[in-house]
Amino acid sequence: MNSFAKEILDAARSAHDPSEADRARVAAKLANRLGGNTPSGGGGGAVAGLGGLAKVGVPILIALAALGFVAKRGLVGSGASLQAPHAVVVAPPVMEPAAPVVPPAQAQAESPQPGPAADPASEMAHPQSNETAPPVAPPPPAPHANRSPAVAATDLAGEMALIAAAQTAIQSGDYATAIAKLDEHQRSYPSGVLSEERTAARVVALCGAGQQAEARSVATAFLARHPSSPLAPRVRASCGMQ
Amino acid sequence: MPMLQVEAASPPRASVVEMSYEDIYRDHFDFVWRNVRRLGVPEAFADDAVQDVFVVVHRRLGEFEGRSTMRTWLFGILSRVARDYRRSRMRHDNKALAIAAEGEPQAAPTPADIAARREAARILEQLLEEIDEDKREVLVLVELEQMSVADVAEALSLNVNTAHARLRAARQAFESAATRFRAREKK
Repeated sequence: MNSFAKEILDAARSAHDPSEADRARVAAKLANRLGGNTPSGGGGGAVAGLGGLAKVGVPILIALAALGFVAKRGLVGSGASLQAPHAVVVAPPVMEPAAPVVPPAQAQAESPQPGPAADPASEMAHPQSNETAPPVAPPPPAPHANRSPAVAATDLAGEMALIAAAQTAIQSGDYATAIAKLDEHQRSYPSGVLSEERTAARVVALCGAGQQAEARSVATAFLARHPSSPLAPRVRASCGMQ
Repeated sequence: MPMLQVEAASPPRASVVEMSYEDIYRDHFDFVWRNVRRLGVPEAFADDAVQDVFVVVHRRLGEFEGRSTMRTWLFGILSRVARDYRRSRMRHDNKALAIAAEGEPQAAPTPADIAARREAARILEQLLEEIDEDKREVLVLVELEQMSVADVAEALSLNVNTAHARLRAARQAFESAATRFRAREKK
């Protein structure tokens, strides 16, 4: 090869290395897709399954692991707190069945927009969720629609804070606050990595708030879009759907 | 805890160590990520493609017999995933291609090192795009991942002589693409 070709190869050899934000984002998605668990099991299974996140910092690691824990336990089924670090330690080594490999065509169907896009299930199924927004003003633009990898980790922390706040509110029976937090998450992170958790939590919150019809509508859309989600059983069980 | 019987990298097939899914993910995420991109999966689809690779790894833990290195085994999986993405998503979806292209990182004005890195990535992707899939895979593994031709042959289920021939052709094709690129840049 001539020297110019070699120069290009040398210059580009590390050009595709992932950023810490890339590692964190994919680990969170993968944990969600595999049920927040990995084959290793063990007391710290959820944490171990996110071993690639070590570089993003302990708070994010713990929070992501906690989300995995919640996914396995069905959101609020055990009453365990999302924010309690010990919940990570005691996460049971449940072996979820491996998610089916999604062929590209199906994967595309699940993610019709390759760029930032809202979760269709959450968007189409709970149109009233935007009721908390100003009635006349257009929806605010997603502040993270064109986020760079450098800020993605910060976005993830912000996402988790909102979802955790919603979970806490659900556990204390404050469903209005929970719905408000989920609305805020949807406005701020319409295509966030935790949009699946957001929609599932919305079903639980709506049921708790007595909004059965909307809860069922959201649940139906969620199950159509995420039939193999680890959160699906909890969603099905909501509002007496099972 | 389910463990994999994996041959240690050095010496390649002499000692056997146990490797869990977490070990594989931790040790090889970067390898999977950068090669998914190098094999032509646009940035907009990279997350999904990388996830698909590790979902397959998750499902096939028990199938890995340790007769090849982990990176060889992984590349066999990721090359199939990347091909699927390229064929199913890109060739038949011009809209997706356009969106993906819009989402490709452009050289950022600052800081300079980020801009240079992205520019290097962009040029490499552009040149690799001009090379046949088969040759591209060999070139990526040998020239960028610096794997041996024997390992590449194993990863791609090729005869070693075929892998050598493919590498020679890939280098020529890359050199030609680089020459064309430089000529365009000078205009």
